[in-house]
Amino acid sequence: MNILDVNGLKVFHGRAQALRGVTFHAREGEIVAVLGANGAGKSTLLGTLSGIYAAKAGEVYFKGEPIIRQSPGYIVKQGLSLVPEHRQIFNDLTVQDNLLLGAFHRYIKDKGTLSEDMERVLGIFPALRGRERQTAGILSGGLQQMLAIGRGLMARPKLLMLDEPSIGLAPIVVREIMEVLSKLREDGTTIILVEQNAAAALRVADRAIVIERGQVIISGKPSELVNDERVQHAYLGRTGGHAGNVAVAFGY
Amino acid sequence: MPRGNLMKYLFIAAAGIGFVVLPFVLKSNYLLSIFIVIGIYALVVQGLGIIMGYAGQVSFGQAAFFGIGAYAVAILTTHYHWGTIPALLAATVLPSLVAAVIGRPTLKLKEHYLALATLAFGLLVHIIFSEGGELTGGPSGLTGIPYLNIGGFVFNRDYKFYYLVWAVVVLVFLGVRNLDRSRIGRSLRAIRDSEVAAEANGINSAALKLKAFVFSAFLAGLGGGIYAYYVTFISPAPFSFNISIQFVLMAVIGGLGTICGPVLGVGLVVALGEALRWLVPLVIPHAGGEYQIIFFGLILVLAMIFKPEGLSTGWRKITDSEKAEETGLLETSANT
Ligand SMILES: Nc1ncnc2c1ncn2[C@@H]1O[C@H](COP(=O)(O)OP(=O)(O)OP(=O)(O)O)[C@@H](O)[C@H]1O
Ligand SMILES: [Mg+2]
Repeated sequence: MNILDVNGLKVFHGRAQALRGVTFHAREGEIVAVLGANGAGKSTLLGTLSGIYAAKAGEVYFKGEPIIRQSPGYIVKQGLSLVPEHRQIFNDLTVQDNLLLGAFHRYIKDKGTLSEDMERVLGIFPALRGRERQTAGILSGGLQQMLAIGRGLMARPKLLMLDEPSIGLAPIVVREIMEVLSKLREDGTTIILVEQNAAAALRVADRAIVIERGQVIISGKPSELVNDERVQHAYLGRTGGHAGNVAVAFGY
Repeated sequence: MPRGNLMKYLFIAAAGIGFVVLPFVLKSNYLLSIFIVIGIYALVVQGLGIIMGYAGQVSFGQAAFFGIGAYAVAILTTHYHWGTIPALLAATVLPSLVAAVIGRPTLKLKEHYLALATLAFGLLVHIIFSEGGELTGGPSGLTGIPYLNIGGFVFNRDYKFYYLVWAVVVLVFLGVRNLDRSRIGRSLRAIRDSEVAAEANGINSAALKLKAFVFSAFLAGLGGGIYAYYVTFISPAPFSFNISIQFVLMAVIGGLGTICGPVLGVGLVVALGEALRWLVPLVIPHAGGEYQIIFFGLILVLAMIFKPEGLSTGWRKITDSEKAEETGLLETSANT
């Protein structure tokens, strides 16, 4: 069963069209990687699915329900959670408060389960343990990213969307985060993973789509995408490291 | 840490005793009246600090909300003979309603529309005060506001007013501190740090900012109502755009999103204003009031450049604000 169905999604920023009819889906319990060059529209896509940007046209069904014109608050409550680009943690708040705000929508009603969930997040990211009272802004980049993901998990998502979680992080931390994503999938969470780091994303993904100028140009299994020359093309000439080396990085 | 706490409590106790005995120590009524005004302004600036510090929006209309509160008391008591409690209630409700009307369309927009809207609003309100005919008393204002009277206790002396004002300041201080630690306070700070992430977590930032703005107008109105009762006559002058700028300066100097900041900021700016009133005529014999706004503008710019976090943040010193190096990160990851 598809947990998410997106049909012909069109989104504008002012007069500039960022998405030109995006169609794709995610099945329950899989990791879908979303690849694409700078400015392709990846973040716009995630932002629209979360209800932060308004779509001009198209349909979005989450668990079979239309969510296209709903508020971000409603969408989180349904179980669709976003870990935004550049981490966007709440710098002035403590680690604990950051996590609590991730559970904003059931902060009052459901107080009893908050510490339980917090414990679960600290179990997933043991490096955060003992830092609950630290100000989030002073954490290292890797810990901030873990916190951002942890905050997303506090909403108890059925579908977790991550926007470039690996950016600016040391390889060992990237690997750790990717392992967490695999584990989350095993526990039944569906994941949409936007990445510049195509090699890392394709390694954990079950399927992948490539977006170019606001449209899905390829979708398929990682093993198919790795050898697709259009993927190579889409990544050529940017961010040095991954350019054209997707297949090499995989050892395909 | 316990030592720091002890120092903190000693300081609070000393400050508390100082404030209680102050009216007995002060020989001059002039100084006492300055402390009363500082307290009243602190309420107004506390409100401004909430919208500026938490919601990250500048309001140039705080003097207008202050004025609406003051004129509400003046008009309702002189023309309609309302009692203290209903008049003060009106002084707070009226600015809150006006703020809700202005804030609803402007706070949704990301840019600084609130600054523009409140600027225009402040100028407009000032004109209404000056041109309001019999209702507002025109440029000369309204006189004969009765003494503040709570349950038969009449606040007819400065020292009584002093205690009243500072009791209200402390209450508001405690209220704001509670707010700061509540779900709403956390959410407001979250919006300030990252509106996108706050929204993504289901925090309705426009609605929350509107609440903050309404609360800021509420506090301005409360200050205005008390002010009218204190001075017993009012005219449009203390509610002009210049005063709004001074309120912004006080909020910035005190530190945004802080709790002690407003009192500190108001105290410094009022002291400076009084000092200038003394000093400038000695240097420039025929200088008018304009120098003050130039001088304050200059301070505002300097404060923004050299101490953008405000003076009061020195209290909670941020020792390790430097981000941990990537190496520190590697260590923590390797340990797990
Ligand atoms: N808030 C905005 N206002 C105006 N234009 C925007 C806004 N956000 C994105 N855009 C534009 O929309 C297009 C798609 O941007 P988007 O951020 O979705 O791309 P992206 O694939 O996430 O890129 P990156 O890899 O750099 O994060 C770009 O041309 C961008 O300049
Ligand atoms: Mg992006």
